Amino acid sequence: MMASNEELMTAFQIGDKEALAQLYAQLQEPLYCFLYRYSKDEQLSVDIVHDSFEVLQTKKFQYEQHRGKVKSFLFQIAYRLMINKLNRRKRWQTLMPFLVPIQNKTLQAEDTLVIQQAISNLPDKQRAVILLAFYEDLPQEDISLILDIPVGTVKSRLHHAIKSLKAELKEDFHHERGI
Amino acid sequence: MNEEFKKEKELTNMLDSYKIDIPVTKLAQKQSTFQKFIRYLGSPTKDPFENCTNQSSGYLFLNIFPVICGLFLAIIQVFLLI
Repeated sequence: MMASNEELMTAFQIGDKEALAQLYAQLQEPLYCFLYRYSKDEQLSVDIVHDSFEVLQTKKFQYEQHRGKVKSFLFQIAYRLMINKLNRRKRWQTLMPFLVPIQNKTLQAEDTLVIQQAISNLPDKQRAVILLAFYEDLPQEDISLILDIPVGTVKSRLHHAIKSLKAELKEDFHHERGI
Repeated sequence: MNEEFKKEKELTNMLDSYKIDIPVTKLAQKQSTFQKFIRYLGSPTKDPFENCTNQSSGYLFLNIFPVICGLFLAIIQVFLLI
């Protein structure tokens, strides 16, 4: 039977290195998906997945089971790392626009591009909430912990994000219905 | 699923279609800070002289500019010697 993330974390806190490997195997994909959907940058997302697990190793004793899930704790670390990196990149971009690396664009289906664009167009704060709520299926309490905002703010951001997405994708809804 | 999405069937269907390819090999190998730095140096960037090289006059200016600078420095030195 597969051990839960919390059991693995407890084992890792005691000193079981194998537990960390299992934790990595279980959480790397959802973490990568969240980071990629937020940043649209493959290499940045991969780097942050690695960095987050490194930080998790150094902060392993800061995790307390009664305060939330391991997934939320890891996502909180990753989100902060990503925001710091993106802010640093923005500053460099302002100072020296020609030094910013050009990203490799991969071919994607039209539907995916439409959704990707609609999500990218959302304000940063709303984007994080919708990605965590829909794709990671996290409860609002966990989202508030990850983003370090009150639960009420999570609710309102989610509401506005859904409204904005519906407005953005309105044409596609009509297209699907054949209107 | 969060309660908010249960009422939004169409939106849910559209969001579900956004799938991602996981770069398994990249995730499996951790790069050192030095390797990241080398990758950053080797990554393609925007040409800072793109606006100049797009026009023939700009291209000519980029070629002549060092010559003009050289001549200017030479003239200054001549004046300093006199």
